[in-house]
Amino acid sequence: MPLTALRTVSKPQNGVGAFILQCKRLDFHYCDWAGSSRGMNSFLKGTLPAFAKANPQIEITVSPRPTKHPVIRGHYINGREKAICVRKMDPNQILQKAELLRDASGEKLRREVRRPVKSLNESVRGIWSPFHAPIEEKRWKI
Amino acid sequence: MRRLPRFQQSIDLLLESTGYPHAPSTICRTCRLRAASQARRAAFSTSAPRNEGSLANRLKNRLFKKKDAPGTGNLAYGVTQPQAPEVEVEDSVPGEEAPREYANQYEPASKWDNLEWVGGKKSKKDRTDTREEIQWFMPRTKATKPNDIAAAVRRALVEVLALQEAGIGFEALRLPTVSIDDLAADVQYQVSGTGQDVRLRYPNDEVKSEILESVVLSVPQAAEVDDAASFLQFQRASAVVHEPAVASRKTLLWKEVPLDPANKFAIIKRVMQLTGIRLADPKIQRCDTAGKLFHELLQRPQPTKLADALKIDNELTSLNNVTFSSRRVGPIDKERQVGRWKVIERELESRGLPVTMS
Repeated sequence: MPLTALRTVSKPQNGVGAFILQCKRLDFHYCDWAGSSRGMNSFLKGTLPAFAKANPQIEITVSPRPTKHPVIRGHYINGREKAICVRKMDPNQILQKAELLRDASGEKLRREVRRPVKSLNESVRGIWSPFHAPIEEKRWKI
Repeated sequence: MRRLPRFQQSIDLLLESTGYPHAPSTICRTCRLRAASQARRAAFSTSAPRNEGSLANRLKNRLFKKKDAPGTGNLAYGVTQPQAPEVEVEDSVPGEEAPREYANQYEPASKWDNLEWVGGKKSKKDRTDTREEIQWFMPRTKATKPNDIAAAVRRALVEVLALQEAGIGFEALRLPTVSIDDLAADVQYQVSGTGQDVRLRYPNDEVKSEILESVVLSVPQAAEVDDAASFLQFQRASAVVHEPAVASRKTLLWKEVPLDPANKFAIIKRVMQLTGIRLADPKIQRCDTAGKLFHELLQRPQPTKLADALKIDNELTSLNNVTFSSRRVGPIDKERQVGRWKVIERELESRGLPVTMS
């Protein structure tokens, strides 16, 4: 008796049953000397502990980047990276940028003009067929 | 007007070749040579010697066109400031022959390395081998233990207050060689009703004499003390019979002892000498009691790098998902993190290529 493969009863979808954050790592770069890193340095000292504690699934690395502007760089599970320069920002603004990178999917930002809604589910109404349509809706007689 | 430098005369070559005058070894070779040249050149000079005094006096005379110009003091230091003593240069007697011992030792440098170096390990070694040893103001290692710092503060209090009571200047304090920590622990501090006058109460006279002797490093002999008056004062202070405690005075703990402006800086200087910890001026200004001074000494200096400050933060270091780097993470570090660098290094070496550009 030949073995038959198990039929997939459900398709895995992120957020259905389990949610995996797409951001896997956040790199925080700062400079000890530059004045544009003043907000970043105070963020690292004051706000980062709470942010790291609230997001344990994200690896956070802190390293200096001398004589450069401060940068937050996000690494995603699709292999892409996103970097945001946070020069001259205060800690609250930097926290918003860190949350933005955390919540991002890692995909490129593009405009959805034609189909604003995407779905993997088939339509509950089924595919329209001229053979099964009511007579009054039939436009062509075959 | 700025004087133009004179061209070297042919007589200078003859003068410089005759060697150096007898001069102390603390003066550098260049200055000795210059002084010798000027002194001997004066013997051949036909112009009258200039005796107008210092640069400030020459400027003053030039401005006011007369000798009795206003302002008797040195212009550079002002009237109220003490004038810098002018060094009297002995006129060399013409025809007197200079000793030849320096001329025999002198070898003109032909290379950069043969020049005399000041600073660095080699200079320090030469100085210790040949000349006097450098006397450091503070120890090179800082005291870190709170007990050691507390003992140093107590010792400085006792030493400075003992000197103040004896009427000896604070400059008698020297670098510590004899420890009086045990003796200082037995001394009590008594303050008057106004809270300003702090006096020491010794358990007996032997302790007092021992402390005073150790403060000035040894019993000062008449030859060592600058003037006879201070020597007699020291002897009187050592011989004073211990006075009984006055009822109006209140005994204080050592942390409650107020730092009077008259002796505050002497105490802090002594604490710096004993502990090796340097205090900034704002911290010194905040210290009005010995306890606050002890507290300031205990505080560690603020880290200059953010990485050092983050390492101190226990809340951040306790998180498992946070890692720090105190230096820039470069491309090699990133390859090393994923374990690829050793493969790259091996392949580069097998091809005879440099591993890094440095």
